[in-house]
Amino acid sequence: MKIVVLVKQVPDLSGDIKIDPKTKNLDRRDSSVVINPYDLQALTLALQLKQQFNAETCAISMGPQKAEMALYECLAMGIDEAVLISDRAFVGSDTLATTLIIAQAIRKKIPDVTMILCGKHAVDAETGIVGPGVAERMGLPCVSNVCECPEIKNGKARVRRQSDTGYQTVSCALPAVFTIAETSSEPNYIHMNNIKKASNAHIETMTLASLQLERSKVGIEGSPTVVGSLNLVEMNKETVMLTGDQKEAACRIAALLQKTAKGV
Amino acid sequence: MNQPECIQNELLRKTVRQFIENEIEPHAKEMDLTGEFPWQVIKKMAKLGMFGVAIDESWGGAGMNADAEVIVLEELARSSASVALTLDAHNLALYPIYHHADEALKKRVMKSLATGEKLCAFGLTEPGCGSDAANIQCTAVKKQDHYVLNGQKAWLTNFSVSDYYVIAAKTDRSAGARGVSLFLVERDNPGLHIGQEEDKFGMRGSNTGEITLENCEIPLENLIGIENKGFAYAMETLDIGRMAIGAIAIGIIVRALEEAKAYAQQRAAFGKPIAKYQAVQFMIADMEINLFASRTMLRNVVAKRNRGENITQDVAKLKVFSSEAATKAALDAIQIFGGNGYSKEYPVERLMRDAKLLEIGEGTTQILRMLIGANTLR
Ligand SMILES: Cc1cc2nc3c(=O)[nH]c(=O)nc-3n(C[C@H](O)[C@H](O)[C@H](O)COP(=O)(O)OP(=O)(O)OC[C@H]3O[C@@H](n4cnc5c(N)ncnc54)[C@H](O)[C@@H]3O)c2cc1C
Repeated sequence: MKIVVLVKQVPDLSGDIKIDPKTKNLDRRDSSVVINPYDLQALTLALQLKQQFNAETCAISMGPQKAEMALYECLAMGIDEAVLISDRAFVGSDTLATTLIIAQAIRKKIPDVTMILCGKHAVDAETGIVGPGVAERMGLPCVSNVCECPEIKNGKARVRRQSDTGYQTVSCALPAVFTIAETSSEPNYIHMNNIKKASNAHIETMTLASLQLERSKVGIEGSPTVVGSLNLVEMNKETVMLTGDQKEAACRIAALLQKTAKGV
Repeated sequence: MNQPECIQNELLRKTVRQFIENEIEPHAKEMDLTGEFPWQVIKKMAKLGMFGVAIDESWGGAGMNADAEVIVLEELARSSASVALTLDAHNLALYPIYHHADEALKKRVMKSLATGEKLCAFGLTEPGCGSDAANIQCTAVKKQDHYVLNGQKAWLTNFSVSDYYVIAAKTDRSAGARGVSLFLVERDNPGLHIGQEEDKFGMRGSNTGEITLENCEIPLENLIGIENKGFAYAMETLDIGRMAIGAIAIGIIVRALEEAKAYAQQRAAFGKPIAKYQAVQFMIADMEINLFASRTMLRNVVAKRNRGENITQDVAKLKVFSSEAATKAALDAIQIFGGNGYSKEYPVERLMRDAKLLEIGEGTTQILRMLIGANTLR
């Protein structure tokens, strides 16, 4: 079994975030970075599958050279191999170009991949398209919003996914792409004894040349997406402090709810 | 520093910081208030391998260098200096074993100590003497197949939570510093009595107290290294300990600065944030300056230690400077917080109480200034 995990380094949203007024994208210049939280969930599941099936695991990230740090982190977590897709030509790639590049990298690096796991979306751009897009480009089935470790039997996977209204259990043939939502699996902390080895590991870099892609299909040139405008969501929240004993407070809550329901 | 080492340090700092924020920070205040030893935290740290970052892999450590050791201590101290001190004291006892014990003794204890499965304590100070460490009164008398230890040890960090004790005792009473040896004493030894815990001013989440050795018989194999070399081993481990104190001081300064900065920016007086007033800015500036100087000194000492050079003089300078800087940073943070700084509700008064220990333990500021001055005027 061979598992690829797609990993993106994103700004740490627990701190302040800035938007570049020109590009209307996140200004990533001086924010600290972390692994996209949903990708962490994907990594955690990959490590569970590694233990269960002795699977070979490979983390792939597309980004600037400094995204390497995220990959070292993956290695220290226990992922076996890591690939950085990085080239100046890739700068400015939208999801259309990104999926082309990543799909090509997977084909080249792990042609016999069994499962591709990624976060349901990256918390910086929030598109949620890369996973399904990679599946489409590779002609693979895709299950989104997976919320439990897939069960694997006879070359098929049974996965539980979150939908807007509840949970669904889906069967699908492998290889497949799964995008991972919140799961109940807590990511483990990295053990100190893994850090030295991971820091000394070799991370393969894939470039425009090594992926043999056309320049016009990647980067800004290959990216039709333009962010037109950005609007802040107006939140009209009002806080009401309730006093009195439990009974009084409960009555007031009921009254408030009734009022709100009417408003809706 | 080469590239893998830079990556290693960055990865390590990130990992421990995340662990500390989730697992230690929520308990840091509580352990200070109750004075209880944070067993849960210590067990989790052990599980993560935080006790042996600079110990060789063959003993279950992570095989990194002194950089790793000080990163862990600094990050711990940024949240809880008590927990950092617990680890530092453990290391004080561990290093003489690691560097000087024979293979058989190491085989018995190193793995459980490097993995943090067991804790240890270092007993040099006695009720009657601390700074004048060559004057200890605890004795070890050699019999046919064992030593008999008698005496009292005071101020041991980890005194009641340890499984092993590294005890300094006189094997030659006529020889001063050259008559001291180090011994490993096991907790279940019937001659070892654990005494009262100190009710401390700061570092309240660390476990400090007295032990008594009463006709405490230990096998000859529990002598660490060579007889009568114990004082040199103790000074050597204290050099490493002083480096640790430098890292803990830096952790405290970093926290004082973070807290003071955030408070100064949001607290307003006379119509603007107090951060806009030069008198406040100067206190923050002093913290920055002292942090920069302490870090530079520490980096220097760590590099020397990694190269295997003698650090005695430089680490003494680091310890004096950074410990005084930590106390000053914490006091200034209290000042910036005003009345709130004087309350236990806010974190800065704890920083001050914790920082003060750094000027006392592992060689007082006065003793270290003497060491530095005497060397200069040699
Ligand atoms: C929280 C805590 C944890 C500790 N943990 C440990 C531990 O794990 N193991 C351990 O062995 N010890 C430990 N100690 C003890 C510590 O190392 C000693 O307290 C320290 O070395 C000072 O010794 P003392 O307390 O006996 O002070 P003293 O030596 O009595 O000194 C009192 C004062 O006199 C000054 N002084 C002494 N001699 C001179 C001199 N010649 N010239 C000028 N001034 C001088 C000192 O600087 C100090 O200001 C700990 C102490 C504390 C508070």
